[in-house]
Amino acid sequence: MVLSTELLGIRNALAEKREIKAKKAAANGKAKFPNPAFFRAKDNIDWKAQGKNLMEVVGICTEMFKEADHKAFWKLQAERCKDDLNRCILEFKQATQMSPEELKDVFLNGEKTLGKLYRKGDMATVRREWKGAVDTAYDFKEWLKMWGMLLMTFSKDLVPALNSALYYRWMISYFCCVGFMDKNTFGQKGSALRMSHLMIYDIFRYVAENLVFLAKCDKKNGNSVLNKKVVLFDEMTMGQIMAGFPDLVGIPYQLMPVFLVSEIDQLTCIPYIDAVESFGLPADTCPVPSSECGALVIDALPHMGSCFISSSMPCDGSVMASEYMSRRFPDLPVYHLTFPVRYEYEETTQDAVEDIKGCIKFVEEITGAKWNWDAYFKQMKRFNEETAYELQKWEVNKTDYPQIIGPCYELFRKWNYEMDGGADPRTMRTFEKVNDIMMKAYERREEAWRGKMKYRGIVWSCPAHYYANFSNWLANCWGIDILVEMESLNFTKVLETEDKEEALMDLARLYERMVMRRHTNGGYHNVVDELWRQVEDWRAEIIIMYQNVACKNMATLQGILDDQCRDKNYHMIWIEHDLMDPRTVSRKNMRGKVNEYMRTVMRAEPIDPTLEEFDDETAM
Amino acid sequence: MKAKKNIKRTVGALAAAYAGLFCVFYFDLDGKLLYYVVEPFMKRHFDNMERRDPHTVPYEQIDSEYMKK
Ligand code: SF4
Repeated sequence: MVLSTELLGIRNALAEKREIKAKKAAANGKAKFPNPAFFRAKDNIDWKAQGKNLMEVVGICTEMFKEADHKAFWKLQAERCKDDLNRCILEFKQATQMSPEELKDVFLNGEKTLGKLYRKGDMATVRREWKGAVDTAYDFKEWLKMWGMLLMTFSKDLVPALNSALYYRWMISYFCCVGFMDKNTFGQKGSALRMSHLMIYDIFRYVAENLVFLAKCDKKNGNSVLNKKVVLFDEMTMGQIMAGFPDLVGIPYQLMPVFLVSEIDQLTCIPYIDAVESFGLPADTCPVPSSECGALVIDALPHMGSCFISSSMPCDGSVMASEYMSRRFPDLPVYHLTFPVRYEYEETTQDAVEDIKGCIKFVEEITGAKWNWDAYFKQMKRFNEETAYELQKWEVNKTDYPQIIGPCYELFRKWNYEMDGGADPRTMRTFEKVNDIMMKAYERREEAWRGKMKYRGIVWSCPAHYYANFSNWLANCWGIDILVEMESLNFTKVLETEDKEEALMDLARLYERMVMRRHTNGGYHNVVDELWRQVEDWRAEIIIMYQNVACKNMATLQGILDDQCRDKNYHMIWIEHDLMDPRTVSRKNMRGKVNEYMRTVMRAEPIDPTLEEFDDETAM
Repeated sequence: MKAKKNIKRTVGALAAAYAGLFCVFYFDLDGKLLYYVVEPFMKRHFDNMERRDPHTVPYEQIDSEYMKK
């Protein structure tokens, strides 16, 4: 179908009217987030090209159907079905051998061993976990809700989203986000399960909405009017600066194609890393900037946006990624936001403020939008409130009855601190609900991980993206309950919401303490002394010490940390990993380090022995 | 009588839909469909797509030709 320009003109006129309406609603405090006009903005989609695209896909489908070895395909499916059936029979037999009390316990409280849910060489689990009648029903409801939200969001502008799914490999990995939700909630029940679902839902809603924006803005999809409102920033740059530009959309550029997707699908970044290493980049570079550069080399990033805010954060690798970015898209104006690293010297804060002012001016000049102090203060007030809720979580977790444990809690904190930053009013509701559930559970002295609360743990250093749910495995297999992770322990000061100069100073302080940077780039006392202080504060018995084999910042400290830990007599387990490249150190090897330590040093037995050894090399 | 029948039918249909969806959920059929059908198809589609190959570009051309294309 080819739409005539007149018709497109009508659509634009309508979009303008709607935008005026939305602005009025915003002035009355009734604004929807994100602005619905952003979804509707659409001006010059090349329908002919879209038609061609679609024909190509139909062609590939037909070709595949003709070429496919149907016999082998159905044989494989039959084998899998047979295996599933055998497992069902086995589980049924096991159930018949149980006493009525045991059976009742499984029915009401769920299964005790989870390793059987994996099958060697498979990407999907054999089946979902039986968490007990009530919790499985709840899990099912959340599954429906997640699929519903994903479908509804993509249907807001289906054509560009479909096009992108057919062009970008990484888009397909997002189809598996429901499976990712399962991995993060394995073994969780009751209040803990409810809190995890609430938090992960918000993250995926943000992801789905931004995927639609990404698809809409991509030049391949016609480069809509929305593009003029889009400010891209480096995924390592926090989103709070956009609070002062309520009419613009700020998108952390590489977040969807690289950073977040690598947590959902462990295999996504491999082509990026290979491409950039063949391009000449040394193989011992940190996979974060390597993957960002590799994505540019193989054209995995959409060509979009009105400008790009690059950054030197968290470390020098980001500078390299910014270089690649401006070479790949020379037409995109770039502003380099480079904050002083020695952030504890207050004298340098003024330099950072000047940098922020320069950035604001740059965005104003490029987009024509005006910085709005009211909007900025409004969002920061919300962000302050969210930080207060976060601190409440920490207080509860420091007690003898921690309530909020597991990967969803960590992912939510990082996302809220770094990306959302108080922008989405719907997130506030989640904070309130989670707080409510948490406080009630605390009053009832609930076990956050039923029957699996053995050791209080803390995570230090940068975690492996390809094993984002490692803390979930730690709790399920060994009863090591991670109370907090280093990357969560960032800036918690109440940000200024009245004085404009002081507000910019606070914004600079916040940015300088972004996730990872605060510790890994903050110098000795922010990462070494701080660890011992936190261990005491949280009364942690085990330190899970990640070692990204390519992180030079942390590598320099290994000996010091080892020596001091020995002197202090703490249990510290070093877990090597390669952040986004599971080929260097696999998930299985990471688990092996814990298994070895727990068996030899702690002389402990696993709570769930089926999880000690299993294959998930190809699992998403 | 007819209304009763209709209600029964609706409840039956809803119960069947619920049971069907629950089976999809419990046996991870959505995951299996994605991993065993969609993923291999998409993999093949992406592998077949014409893309620029950084490995075939002479080193001295990389900056000027490849990245700006
Ligand atoms: S893991 Fe280390 S090298 Fe990589 S981005 Fe973080 S601080 Fe920098």
